[in-house]
Amino acid sequence: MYTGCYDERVTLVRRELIGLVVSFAILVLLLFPYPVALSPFSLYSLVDPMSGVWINALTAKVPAEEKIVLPGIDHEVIVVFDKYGVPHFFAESEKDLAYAIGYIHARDRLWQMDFLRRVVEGRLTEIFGNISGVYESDLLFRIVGLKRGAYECEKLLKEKFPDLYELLEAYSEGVNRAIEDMKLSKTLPIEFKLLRYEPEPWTPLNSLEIGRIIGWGLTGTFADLYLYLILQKFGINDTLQLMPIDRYKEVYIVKPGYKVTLGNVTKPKAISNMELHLPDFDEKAVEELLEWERKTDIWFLPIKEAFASNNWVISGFYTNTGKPLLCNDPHLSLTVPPVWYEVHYVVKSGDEIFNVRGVTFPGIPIVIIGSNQYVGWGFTNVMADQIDFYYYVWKNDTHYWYKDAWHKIRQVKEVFRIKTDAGFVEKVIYINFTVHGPLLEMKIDGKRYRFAVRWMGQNATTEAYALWKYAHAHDIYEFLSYTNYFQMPPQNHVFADIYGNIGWRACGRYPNRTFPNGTNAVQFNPLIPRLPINGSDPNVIEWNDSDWIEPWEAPQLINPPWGYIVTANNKAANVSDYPYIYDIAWTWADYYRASRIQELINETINEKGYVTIEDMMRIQNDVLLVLARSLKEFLADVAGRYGYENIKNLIENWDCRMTINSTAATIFVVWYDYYKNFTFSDEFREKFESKDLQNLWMELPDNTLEHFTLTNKSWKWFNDVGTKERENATTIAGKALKAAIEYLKKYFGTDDINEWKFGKLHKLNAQHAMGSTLKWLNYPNWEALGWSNCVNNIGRNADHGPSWREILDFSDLNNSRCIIPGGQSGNPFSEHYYDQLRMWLDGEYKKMSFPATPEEVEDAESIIHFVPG
Amino acid sequence: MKRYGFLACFLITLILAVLLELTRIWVLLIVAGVIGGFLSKSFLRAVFAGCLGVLVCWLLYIAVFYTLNPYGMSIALSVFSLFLGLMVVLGAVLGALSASLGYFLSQVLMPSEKGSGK
Repeated sequence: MYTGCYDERVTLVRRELIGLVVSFAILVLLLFPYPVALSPFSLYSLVDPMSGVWINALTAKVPAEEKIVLPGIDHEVIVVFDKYGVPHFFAESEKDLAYAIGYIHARDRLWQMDFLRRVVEGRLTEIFGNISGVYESDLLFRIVGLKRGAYECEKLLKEKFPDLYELLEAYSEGVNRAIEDMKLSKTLPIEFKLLRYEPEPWTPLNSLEIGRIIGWGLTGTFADLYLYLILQKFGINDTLQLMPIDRYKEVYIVKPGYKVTLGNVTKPKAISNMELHLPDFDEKAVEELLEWERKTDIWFLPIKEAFASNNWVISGFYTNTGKPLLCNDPHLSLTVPPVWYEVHYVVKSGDEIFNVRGVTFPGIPIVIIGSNQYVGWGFTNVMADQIDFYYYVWKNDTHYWYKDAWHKIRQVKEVFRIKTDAGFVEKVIYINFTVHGPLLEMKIDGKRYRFAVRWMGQNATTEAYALWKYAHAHDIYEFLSYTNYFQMPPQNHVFADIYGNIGWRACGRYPNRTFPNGTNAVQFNPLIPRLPINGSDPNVIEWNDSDWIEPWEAPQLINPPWGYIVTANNKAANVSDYPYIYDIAWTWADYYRASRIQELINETINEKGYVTIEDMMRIQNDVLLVLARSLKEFLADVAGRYGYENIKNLIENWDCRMTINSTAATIFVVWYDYYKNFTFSDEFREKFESKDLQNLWMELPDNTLEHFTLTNKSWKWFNDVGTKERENATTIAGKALKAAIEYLKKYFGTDDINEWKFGKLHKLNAQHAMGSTLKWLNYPNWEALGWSNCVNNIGRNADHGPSWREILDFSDLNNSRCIIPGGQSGNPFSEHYYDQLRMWLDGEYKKMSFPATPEEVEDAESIIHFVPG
Repeated sequence: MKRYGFLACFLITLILAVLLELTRIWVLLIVAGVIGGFLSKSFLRAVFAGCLGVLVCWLLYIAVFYTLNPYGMSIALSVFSLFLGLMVVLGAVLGALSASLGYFLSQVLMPSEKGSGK
């Protein structure tokens, strides 16, 4: 039988089948070829034209007019965006407003919000895996208990302030509606696509968590522990020379001798006893803890306090308009996108209309700093001490000695989900608690070290209510009544109203550290808040939970006779004027910024008799370095003695301004770093084994070195303990100058000092949380003026600085000014990603207007009508 | 079954790819490629039609997006130039493979007289 044709067909079909199978197999391989191991960031979703990055680029430009149905609102909310992408909301109720703010926050900053709540909840490992520092960050925040603190706040809000809680619920609904819309349109922020996950629904608890992380950034310091180490190694006399209880030069917020408080504050007792009982733990434990903190810093830098902020308010008596001017520039990390999100709203509240403008934290529907049509306010950090560390005598791993008995630790289970190449791995840990708080635990060389953390943020606190009510105040007195609820993190509130009143209060709830008999321990010894506490001591010092130093007992000023109030993280008042000053804080900033601001205000008033809004802009952008002015003559003298005539001339003729073209500024800052290093590092190297702890000298106040340079050049710390000669300030400064010049020659690649421009050394370093891997997400690293301790405090690495500049003009609030370092949008393809950055760097401002209707919004770019569904 | 030349298969793939992409499920481009390849007279015509059909579809989207938001797209393109290249290559390869799959499928289900004709 002939079967050739059949065989040919079979062969053909077999060939087609093979082709079919091979094509299919290659397709499958191409579609699923990307294991997580290739990168923590997915390439896969980037190449999709309809829902990859291109769609984010497309939607970065919003339509001129949109109508969006929001089922949760009762009346239409109109949102007009101006040319900087700032939303102006017009709403019939606060609930509708909160809903709409939620939607817009999410649209512009959703990933930032999600990132921050993950930091608080210790869930970064779920999106990043166990890359450098992530697990340590998660672990620290879970132990300290930021989420537990937020949960306590939530319970309190539900019970005591249900109206506010309803707003947080409406806000969450708005956020969630935006999340659903973005999921549907595949326009979730690019970070979600890169990391291949989707956001979970937002809840009121998440908003309160954002508050906790801000609180930790401003008060969560391990300074007690490093001060303890310095004290342990150098003894009390030397430590108090290096870090004196009162700095060698202080500029107080309150003029000495002026009555500063309301309330029932008692006279201070004499400081009678400086004896200390140092704890029995070694430097390795503290070293480990500080290393832990440093790893964590990488991940919560977005809100880490930069030891600087300025605010001041000037009475109408000294302004050209006869009404107050209020300025504020809180200095926080320069992040991408910025820490703040600006909003303006007009809303009906009861029978009244409030017209409010200022900045919010993405995740919180409340203007934190800003103004309504009556009252305006601004914040700086009080630098309050709201944290203590306890150590104990242990019987075994589970029992510690406390008040004459062994107590068993309490345990709480925590489950981590860590992203890996093969999905998620669960890790279970137990957090241990003593009566004072959760334990930070380390095991070094088989020995266990444990510190319990007592932090104000673990308590239920009420500042959310205060912040919400600020926008409802009609004058500063009503405003002041709301500040009674502001508990943490303590902030220097300056405020003013359209009636011409000005004021300040260092708002916060401060621990009243007491002995078992109830007496205040800090009045007995001012060093107590600065050191770890022995929790097993029968005379243990504890926070009195029923008797705090309350906000209304904090130092304050109302319409002071000298006509203005300046705060710049400096010490609030002399102890003779305010008895609880050592209770509330000890890591005050040096006097430089406060004194410079006061000096400029006084100069201007003396020159013209008044100040204007232009003067305020000039002061906010001032880059004169007071420390340089103080040490300039000394440095010039040293340069002359060591044969650097060109540098001597340069320094002598320098105006001490940190401008980008200044070469003297470059030489000064590098010299000063070496000078401080050479003065202190030899002693610290001698005392500490660890390299990290050898660098603790960096934490010493600049004022200490400045003081001894000017008053006692033979101070013992100037001597290099590693040499036989006896060095003094001049010889150390000469050595530092030589080192600085060598460094700068290498850095700039030339001996020509005219090329050593400050801007080439000091470049903007505003980073996205994923910016170390994806550099294109960061802002451009433009040359930056300013320096740490300048009023325009763009810090030494240019990674922190004025996070919001606000100048409120109470003669006409529409004449107010503001700017943020970046832009409103978190979308890197948006024109508003960093459209304010150049202006901010150049000291320019936007008009901060308060339009009453949508039609009055200047330079409107687009409009959204949120309509009830 | 009637089979078509390169141009017809290319246009079928392109139109289907554009329509299916509107669903925002990008892997559906495979369906466009498979159908284009299924109707092709020959293997090579199928592969080229699938390759170009998907490629042109994706480039069309980018062009349209560019006209709608030149600022955002110019940044996206500059940042993602590498990925744009990757996208073009991947789109073309996926188009070609899916067309190949379609072609072989048609030959298995409804073999033509000339077999796999090249």
